[in-house]
Amino acid sequence: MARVVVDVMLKPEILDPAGQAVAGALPRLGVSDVASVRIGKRVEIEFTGEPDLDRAREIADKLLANPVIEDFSIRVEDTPAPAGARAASGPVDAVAGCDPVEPNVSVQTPAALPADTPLVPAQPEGEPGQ
Amino acid sequence: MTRIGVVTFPGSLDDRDALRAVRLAGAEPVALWHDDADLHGVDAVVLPGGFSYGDYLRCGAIARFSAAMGSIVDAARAGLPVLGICNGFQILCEAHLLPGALTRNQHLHFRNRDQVLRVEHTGTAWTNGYAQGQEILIPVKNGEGCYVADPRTLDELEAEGRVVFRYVGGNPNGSQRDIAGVRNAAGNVVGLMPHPEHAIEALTGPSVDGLGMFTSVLAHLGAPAAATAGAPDGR
Repeated sequence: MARVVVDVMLKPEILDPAGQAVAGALPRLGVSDVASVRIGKRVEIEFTGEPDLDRAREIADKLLANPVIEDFSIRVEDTPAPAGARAASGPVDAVAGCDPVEPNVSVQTPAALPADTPLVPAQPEGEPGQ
Repeated sequence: MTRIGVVTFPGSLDDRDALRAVRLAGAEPVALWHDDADLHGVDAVVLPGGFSYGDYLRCGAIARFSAAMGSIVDAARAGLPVLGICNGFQILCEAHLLPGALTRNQHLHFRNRDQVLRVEHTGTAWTNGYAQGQEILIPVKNGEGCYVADPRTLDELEAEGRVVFRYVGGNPNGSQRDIAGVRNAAGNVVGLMPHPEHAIEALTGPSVDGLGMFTSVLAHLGAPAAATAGAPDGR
């Protein structure tokens, strides 16, 4: 079963005091070369059928992220799949915030494919063509 | 008698205090339930403080999609007076009835103290009983009360007189421009982080300044306030 992963991050201009507190603790670990730490949320969504990126984007936009303070990105995550289904498991990234412009969706073929695998454009079933 | 509803969500804490404030102001308190879309004919609604749905995901994010909120959003757009206190303010922002968002206090501490506020706008359903610029003392208690919005929104709020309350004598959470409460364009929806329902009688509060919000809405609705409620004092 493929999983849709939504990463939610505070917008760059929004102060992240929790991240600052973590960054402030790092010197106690002997780490002194970290400029900043920002904390977000990772949400994993498993659909009963094929992963539906449009639906996941709607979920993220309406509930998972608050567009006033947060951006989110969506991707389909690799899960172990039967041979022959590999082409449908490439990472798909879509970045969206409160920007009404349709987010870019880049589709990459996994680099780890065997050499004899046909490099068809990875277009998971059910994914909207964009 | 004017009926004012108070919604109880799973995790609401101050619903009982809000119901009591409604009663002391001279209205009939009506307990509303988050899972009930029926507003039972109330004339105004208070969204109380607390931690609705455990504050999971973000404060107010899940409460926004409750059955009661669906009805309240529609009614508020049609003019129903709605006051959001603390978690209720967060819910109103999540529901896009008010602009901006409430984020983690800048200093990361939960802040609980009596707080002076300045009433910046008296043209709302909930503040018409105060004097412009009046300073009131009511408790503030929150961990995620830092009001943020983009600079353009903040400028609009200032220009349109939509900042209703401002912190005076120290900003308890890092809110931008010391904003403690805002209103919608029409003035029927007001949200603030501090708790007027905890400042309604001398026995339990630092003042009775909070009662003015509950008597203001009665005046807005053309109903008399309780004789015992009196006018908000001018402290």
